[in-house]
Amino acid sequence: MIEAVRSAITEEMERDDHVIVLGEDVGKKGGVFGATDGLYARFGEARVLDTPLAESGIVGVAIGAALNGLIPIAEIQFADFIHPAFDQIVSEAARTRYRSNGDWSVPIVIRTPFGGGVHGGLYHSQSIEAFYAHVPGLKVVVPSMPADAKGLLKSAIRDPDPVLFLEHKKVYRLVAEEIPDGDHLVPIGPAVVRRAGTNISCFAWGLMTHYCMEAAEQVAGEGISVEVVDLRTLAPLDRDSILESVRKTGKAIVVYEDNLTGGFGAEVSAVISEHAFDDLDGPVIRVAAPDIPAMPFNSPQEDFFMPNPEKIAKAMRKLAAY
Amino acid sequence: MAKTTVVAPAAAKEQYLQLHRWMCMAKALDDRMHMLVKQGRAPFVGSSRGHEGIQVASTAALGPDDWLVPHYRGLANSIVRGLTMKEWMLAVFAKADDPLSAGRNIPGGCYSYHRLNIAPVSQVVASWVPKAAGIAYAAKLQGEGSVTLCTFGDGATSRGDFHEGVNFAAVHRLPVVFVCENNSYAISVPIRLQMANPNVADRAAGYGIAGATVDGTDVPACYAVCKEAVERARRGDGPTLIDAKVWRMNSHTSEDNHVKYRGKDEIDEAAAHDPIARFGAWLLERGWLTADDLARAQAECDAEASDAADWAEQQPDPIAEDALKNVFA
Repeated sequence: MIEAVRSAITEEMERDDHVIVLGEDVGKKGGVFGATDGLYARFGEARVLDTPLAESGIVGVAIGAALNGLIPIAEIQFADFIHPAFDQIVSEAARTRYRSNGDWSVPIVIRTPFGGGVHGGLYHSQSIEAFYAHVPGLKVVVPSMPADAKGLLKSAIRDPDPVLFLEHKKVYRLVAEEIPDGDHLVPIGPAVVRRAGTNISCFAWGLMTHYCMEAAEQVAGEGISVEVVDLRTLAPLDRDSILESVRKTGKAIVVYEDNLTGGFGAEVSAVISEHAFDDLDGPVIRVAAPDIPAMPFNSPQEDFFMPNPEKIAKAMRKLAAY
Repeated sequence: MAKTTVVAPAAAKEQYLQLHRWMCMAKALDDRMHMLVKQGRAPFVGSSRGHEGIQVASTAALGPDDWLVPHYRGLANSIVRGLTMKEWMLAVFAKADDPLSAGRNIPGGCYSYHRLNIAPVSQVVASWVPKAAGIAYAAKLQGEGSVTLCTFGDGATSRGDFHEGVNFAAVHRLPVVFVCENNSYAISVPIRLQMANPNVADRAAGYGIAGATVDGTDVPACYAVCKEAVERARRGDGPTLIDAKVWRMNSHTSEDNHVKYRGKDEIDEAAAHDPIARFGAWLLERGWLTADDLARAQAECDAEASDAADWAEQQPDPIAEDALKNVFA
């Protein structure tokens, strides 16, 4: 998926010379995951800018540059480090159009690698989507497949509003997929059904989409038909696709890697309970990480923390029997 | 601190008279807002009184295509950019046609005006400092030649965003003029509890940029320092950090009572540092205005502010459901 990200940025920088990249180590090094590898040589230091180690400053500078006509793609090296920029993202980027009543817009993209299962320890494993998907005025996109990553990132760069673009670190090298040639765009918003099914709807994003697919395959042999819906965009949320699937299957599981309480899956669960209550044949189940402060480094505890195909399959069996 | 007397060429007379007029306009609006609050007609005022000298001088040093990234006490800055009294009063009464935030924010609390290159700022102090650096970075990259004026109070200089923004501008030698309107209070917290060295411009050396300290109530001195900083920025020699010492004449806002933490003597002392009175005396000394002229200038502005308030009060309120608009494009 990392190649898809790099290719989307490269194509958009070629298409529009207002597009710039800024962040820590994005220049000569090409990013710690290589997402901007080669861009420095191709587009020069002014458009592929290594910044001081200051996340609030990175986003604040990106906002200012956007106000004055540029289209900045700001990279936060790890999602765990985005919190110093919380105010710039929430109080500034997401609110500028609103508080100026449309007089100004902030067309920036904030890319950041997130997620665990990579032995990243407490500060290189976090899932942060719940904090930001709560914020009106900010779009939150989480691709799970390379082609989507490319198409959604290109859409994000062309979007007139701020977009937080979350790339799962484990997915970077987990999946290979043919990426369509040409100007491949995927619209921000719509979810996609990755696997059709009739007994249970399973909703996920990022790495968890892949684990849900594996779990669905495991239980298929037991006669449980699971539909896997990849939300792809958390804000704005595709409520119609969620409800359409649940109305067909009558049962729902939401899987997320963040800790359980107040995670974004709680919102998905609430949407289902509120709008599809009459169609439900069982409780909406959340499979998520335990409520502990962060994902431990050591393998037994990291495995304990992460939802995985076995835990998800277990929940599927339980709900199927309900 | 810069000397208070700057020799002004005769050609500058008209310009100085214009600066004085802008200060009178700001004072008129400020005084009218206080009356409106007392009368229960308007909800809130954050006063600019005491800051008008550095505000008009710094903003007048800009050209029409330059940028203003002001703090929330920057009424006089905006007047220099072209904001009218009627427009300001639409914001004071939070009316639908308020061009600053469509009545969405408290008056003067955070505002913007695209047409006047006044960038959108919030009430999170110093959050706009990196933004100013970003605006200037874009200007440099696109070869615009514009200069960005970024203003803030002494309180803002304690925040990380101040450091992150100034440092970025310094690294890239960006065309920014940073002006600290240093009234020595962060609401009630005195400067001795904010910083060990009260001279903010001393920090410029640490960033590798130019710094200047000026008496912010001395309009000619402020104008000279700011003009030099704008020229430095324009010719590509990087940012300047200006520490303009001013006296806050009123409470922090209409929600605050500064008697509680300043004491009467200090408040009286602040009143003696009114930049408008000082500048008026300077103009009088040169024979550019008479005492009658000075009184008339203020009276005319007061009348205009009163009319603007009465007019704005009658304009339509925002529609409730319009609260849903302009979340996204």
